Amino acid sequence: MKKWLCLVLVLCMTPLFALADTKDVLNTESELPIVTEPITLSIFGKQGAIHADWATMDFFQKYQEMTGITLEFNQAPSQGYDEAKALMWTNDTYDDMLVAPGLSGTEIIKYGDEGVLLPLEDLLKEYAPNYTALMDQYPDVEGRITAPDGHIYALAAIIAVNAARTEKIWCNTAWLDAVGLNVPTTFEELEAVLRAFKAYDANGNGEADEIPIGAADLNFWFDTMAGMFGLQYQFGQEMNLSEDGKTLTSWLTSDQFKALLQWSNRMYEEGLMDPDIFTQEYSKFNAKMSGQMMGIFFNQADDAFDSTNYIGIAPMAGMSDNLYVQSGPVARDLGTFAITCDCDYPEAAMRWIDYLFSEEGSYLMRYGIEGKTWTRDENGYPVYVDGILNNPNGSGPTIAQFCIWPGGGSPQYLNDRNCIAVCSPTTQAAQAALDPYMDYILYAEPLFDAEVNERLQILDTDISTYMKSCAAKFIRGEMSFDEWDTYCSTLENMGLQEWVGIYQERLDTYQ
Amino acid sequence: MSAHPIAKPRAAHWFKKRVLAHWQLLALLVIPVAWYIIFCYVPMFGVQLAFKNYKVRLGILESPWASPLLRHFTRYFTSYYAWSTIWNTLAINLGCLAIGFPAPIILALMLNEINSLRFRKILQNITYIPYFLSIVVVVSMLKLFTDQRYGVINLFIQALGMKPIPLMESENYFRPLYVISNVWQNMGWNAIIYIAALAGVDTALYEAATVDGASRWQKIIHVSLPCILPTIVTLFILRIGQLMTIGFEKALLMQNDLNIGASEIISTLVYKNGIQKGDYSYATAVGLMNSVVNLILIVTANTVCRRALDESLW
Repeated sequence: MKKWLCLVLVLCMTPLFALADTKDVLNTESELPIVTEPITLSIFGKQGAIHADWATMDFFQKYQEMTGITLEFNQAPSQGYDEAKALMWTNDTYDDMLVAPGLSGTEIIKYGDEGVLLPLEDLLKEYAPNYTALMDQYPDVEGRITAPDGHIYALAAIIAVNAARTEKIWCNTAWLDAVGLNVPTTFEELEAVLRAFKAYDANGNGEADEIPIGAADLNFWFDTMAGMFGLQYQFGQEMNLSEDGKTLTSWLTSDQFKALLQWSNRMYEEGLMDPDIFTQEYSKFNAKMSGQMMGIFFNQADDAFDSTNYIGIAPMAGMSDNLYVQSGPVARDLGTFAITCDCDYPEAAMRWIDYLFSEEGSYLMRYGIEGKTWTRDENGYPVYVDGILNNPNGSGPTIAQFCIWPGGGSPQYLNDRNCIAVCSPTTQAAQAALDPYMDYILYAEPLFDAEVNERLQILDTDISTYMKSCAAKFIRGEMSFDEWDTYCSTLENMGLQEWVGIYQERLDTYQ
Repeated sequence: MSAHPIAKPRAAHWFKKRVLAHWQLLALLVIPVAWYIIFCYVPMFGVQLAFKNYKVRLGILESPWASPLLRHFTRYFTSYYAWSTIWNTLAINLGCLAIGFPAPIILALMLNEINSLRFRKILQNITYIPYFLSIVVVVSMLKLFTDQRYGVINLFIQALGMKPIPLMESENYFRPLYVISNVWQNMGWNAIIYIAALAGVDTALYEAATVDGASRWQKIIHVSLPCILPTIVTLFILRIGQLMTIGFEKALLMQNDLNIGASEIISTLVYKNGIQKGDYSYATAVGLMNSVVNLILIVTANTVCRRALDESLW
């Protein structure tokens, strides 16, 4: 009797074991479809503000057909997304894949370490030929996405176009013509141009409503201006690398930074710098761009405004012998894709994401369905059909009806062939003006282990909060530069050296 | 049969007389009691997170204890902004207490003096309607009114020939703005309870005072105020217990780089670290510290009031 029971049980379990071996469902003959039997994977991610419902997007619809993998959509809207994501971690079960979830370095380390995110490095080797090839082609990607414990918990987007990783300096040529001046190349000329914009009614509407120079916020202001004062953003932070490439120093207490603040203060006092810079929402800045209200401003591309009257210009000389343009790393957006511990088909999930990093996959990801939203030119490269790039609603919101990449943070492979929507010829030309200043070693923000990271978080919160609030006060003249020493010593007391030391330690391991 | 032949009918009798007879009242009580259990007592189970290193996959019970046990408290108190968040929280609350507490009392006394019922009702409605506005709306209004170039307030200041004041972009004006807008929004609503208390005052007392030749002012001081004093004291003690508590929404909405020195309060810090960065243990520790201070404050206030005014909660 017992033997019978055992036999029955064993027989019952055999198909279960067979099912549990997920590799069996993989299609090994060809790249697509990924699976031989239909499977379902659930996804969580951030549905951007301008996105259509993910479930109805051409990209997802088509890709489900092509892969044989049905998707279950559990994405959260961008409004209140941080909260939704924070609560998602405390769920009992997780969605199979995180697609464009906007994971921070802290989250990758924390939840990788706790076992929520699967280590991907072995899966990558076996099931991700495209991503691995890109990692070989761009060696700094691996260092950026690998956690200190040697695991890769999340994949980054691969941005292989310089123009997509820098902020361009846009200058209004119509205004220049109106005031009869040339494109500024030095700080002296820049100041003359800004004063002229303000004084001579550059937009010709009879009101002094011109904003001579503006930026989205203080961070964007520093990102671009700092380089003109010889300041770099090593590891994504306010640090310069010594000439021998061995030592990091924070420039938050340096004379160059003081000079930058003093210059900004002067621009502010003269009413040349947009006073909204300290408080405005991004949408307000967006409106100023599209409304052609600014003479000079910083933005990555010209997708948000009509660039007929704008050109991209080079950084201003005159404040420093060395000029730098900050750029994001190739692996610009960290944490754009991860597989969770509850995923029953990690191999299939890896192949699902890997295809999007192939040339053809990137076209699908960035252009939608061939023949519907794009066609091929004579070289076989994709071009959007008419009515998308020149859509009156703006190209981004139009594309966001069928693709997930507008708004950023999605797992994507951006290269020269597929970047037209973010890198128009004007943007490419603007980038050309910056290229000569990008020829220096720039380290990308690495991942730290949980303990170091926790310390870093506290230091970083204190230091950046204090720095930002003081910088704003210096610029607005609410703090006088006599108090500079107090500002410096407060930063030191907060642990500025400890903060630099953490990055220095990482740099030492690179040598 | 039964071991206690007498006790049982007595218990049954007690049950029938004391419980069943008042079932309507008890049924009403069920809702608030359930609310307290679900939203106040059950979550206390999670307080242990303050002493643990929370791991999402292990859950609250299984997560390892922090070492040292007070690690997250130390983390808070060693951060540069710890004391300033405590001070900011206290300062805003003290301001709200100093201005926001007497304001509804004065409003209620004033409304009580109005003879025309119609006018009184209209006034009362107007003063408490702002209470129903969402905080987002109130803060947006504040931002519009205080705008440096187009705001009503600054246009007025400029009309007087003075320089515009960056009201929202300054640490100095954050607290006054917060307190005044709070008073504006909540004064009418908070006055309701005092108006109700005033309505309960025996009219014979006023008549007697009139006969004694008391002026209007004297009647307010010697009749109205003493009659609502117990209500005032009770509300005051309760208010003291919230001295370290402010919702994070308004401060967070009003916050920017320029006023962060005054606008970063304990609850915004907890929100940023706990909800946004997912550092639950740290946020719980800070929240717990906050609650302990609140408890100390309410006990102190109660004791002081009992000694000084002979009125207290318990």
